[in-house]
Amino acid sequence: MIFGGLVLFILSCCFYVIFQVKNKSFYRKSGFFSLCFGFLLIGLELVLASFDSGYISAFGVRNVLIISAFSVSFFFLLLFIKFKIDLVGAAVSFFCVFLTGAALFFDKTQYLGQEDFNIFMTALHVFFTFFANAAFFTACVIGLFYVVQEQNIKLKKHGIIFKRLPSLELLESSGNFCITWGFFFLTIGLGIGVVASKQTFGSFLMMDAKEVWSFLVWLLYAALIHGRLTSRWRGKKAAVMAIIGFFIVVFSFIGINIFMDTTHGEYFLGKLIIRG
Amino acid sequence: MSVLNQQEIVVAGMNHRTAPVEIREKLSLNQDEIKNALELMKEKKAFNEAFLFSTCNRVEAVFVSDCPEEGLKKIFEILAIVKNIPMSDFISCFYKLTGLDAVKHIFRVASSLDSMILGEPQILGQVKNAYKCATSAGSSKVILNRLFHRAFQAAKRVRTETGIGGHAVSISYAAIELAKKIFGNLSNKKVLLIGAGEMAELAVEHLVQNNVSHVFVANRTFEKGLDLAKRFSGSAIRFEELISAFQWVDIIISSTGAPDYIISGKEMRPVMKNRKNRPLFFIDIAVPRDIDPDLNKIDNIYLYDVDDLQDVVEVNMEERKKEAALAEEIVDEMSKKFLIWKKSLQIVPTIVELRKKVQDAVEYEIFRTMKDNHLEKSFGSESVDKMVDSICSRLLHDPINFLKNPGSHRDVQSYLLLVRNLFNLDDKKKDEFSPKIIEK
Repeated sequence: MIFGGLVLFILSCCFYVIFQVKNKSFYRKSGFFSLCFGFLLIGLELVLASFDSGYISAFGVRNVLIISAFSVSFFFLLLFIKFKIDLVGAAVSFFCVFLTGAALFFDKTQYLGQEDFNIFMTALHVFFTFFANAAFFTACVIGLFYVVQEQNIKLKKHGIIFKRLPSLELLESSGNFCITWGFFFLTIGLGIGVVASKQTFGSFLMMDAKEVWSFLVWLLYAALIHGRLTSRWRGKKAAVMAIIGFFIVVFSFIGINIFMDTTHGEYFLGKLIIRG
Repeated sequence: MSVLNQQEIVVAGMNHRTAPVEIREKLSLNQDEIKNALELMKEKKAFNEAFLFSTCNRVEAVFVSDCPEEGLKKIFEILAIVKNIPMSDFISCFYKLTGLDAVKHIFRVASSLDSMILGEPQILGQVKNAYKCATSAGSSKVILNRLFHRAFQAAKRVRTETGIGGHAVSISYAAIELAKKIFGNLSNKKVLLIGAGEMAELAVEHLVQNNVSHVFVANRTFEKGLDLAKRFSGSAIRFEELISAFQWVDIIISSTGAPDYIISGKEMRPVMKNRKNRPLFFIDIAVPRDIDPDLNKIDNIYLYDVDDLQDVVEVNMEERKKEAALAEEIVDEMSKKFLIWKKSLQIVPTIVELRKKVQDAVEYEIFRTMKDNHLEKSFGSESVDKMVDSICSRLLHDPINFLKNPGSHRDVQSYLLLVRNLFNLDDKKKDEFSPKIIEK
């Protein structure tokens, strides 16, 4: 199943790249549908894996990578429904290829440290935070497009990229949409995480590095939304903030687990076991 | 052998490349003049079909005739009569095209490949109007009808399959395209025109066509501003209120005769704060410039002057030229297809005559047989007619197919001659089996 998903994401990525060169709607549609079917396949993989193991597949490196690909493609579809644009298609499908491809190297085993874990609550926490990450990833890509397009207009460079990219207004409103929903998912995800922590460890906060960085990420996006609402951060500034924000998200999710000992790394991701 | 005479498609025309503007304006025809000319063409009987087309840059006559040279002479005579100018004034400016060249030319004109501004969209509408005029005058028949429908198809393919119309090639359109790249939809945007000027007013007109929500006009002479605002169904503001107006408009087109900058970066920073950093697009068409170029350095302000827009136009023109090469391929392909169809038309009279001859012979023999057997009442009944048709169709199926598809290396003309000789189709006595003889 996951292999099928990977193939579809590769196809989608190829179609979107060809579309950028040839500008024929056939390639765009093919890319879009390949991505949709890839999304469905990896969703099915998660459901089947849950039935196999007897509990929700939200733990272990392999599952986390699949959830990441699932949530990124889910957010792509959400954006398409709202704005009827699939300009991030190439980036999303490429990211999904990377995530599902990496997932193939990891064992199916899920690592759960304690038996009295509230699996449902913890899985919800995982899903919501990954949906938030997917939204921040999309906002980052859109932010990148905004900066490029803004530079094209300012510096009067009207090449192929200028022609392919949409208007600044559309980029800004779709970026706004991503950040608002990402912040909403993150808030719910962190809230559920805090409750789950109380149920499992008896304390709302473990005060480990992961929690501190997650709170910093939440603060950063709260500030960004505030800046947008008060119109101080608009246009290029907001786009740059969205790009920086995503790098901090990546560090708080991957960097922290690699460089520091945290409860999340120990209990949920386990050791990185590479097949063979 | 008259039936084998090829009807030739002929184009006689002049355009911006072959005729100076003095001649073009003398020969330019309005709708009534075109109708008169078409009526005269019908009267002269030198044309089987005719079409006349006139814009500010060209006059084209397209006709189908058995003798193109005679048709050409009469076209010039008619133009001289309708426009009341001597033929010698314009005859040297005309080009004459026939066959594939003529078909290609019409397809190129409709696809805007022959226009002064390559890829401009108006020409197709003008050709369509002229075609409507020719059909209502009854001068466009089988060949021209097909020719122009194929020309419209070619133009549509060129528009959809190439990017020939996708790049703005006038300063005002280039400005609107840029505005769309900043704001996307212009329907809820407000425009401010500072000063006046042909190019600036044209840009505002284009913006109005793009449904901008409101147009403000600021002019040093308030009354002048009022007049202009009325033209765009907008409102006039006083020149002193300019800076405060920047807070609620989105696109500013400036075209004053001021010797210095009228808007500087210093003034704009607080304005941007007040307008909550919403993007602002300045189009400076004035020479000398009205707007300090440093404005472009401020976040969310975009400034284009007339040179920037001219650069955009030049780049776009080059793009259109590249796309035109693709369009020429489409025109080539479609004109060749049209000529194949036209060639197939020459076999029609032979097929009709052949079928008639065979049908008459079969009917004659059936009539004789029935008469001998005292069965004359049955003759002419539906079943006998059907039988006659079936015999003709079966008998002629293969020869007709052969004539229709003689193969790419064979000459249709020689086969047509052969068939006509074989069946004696050009003999005056061929009516030996005609119904009149049967009656006798």
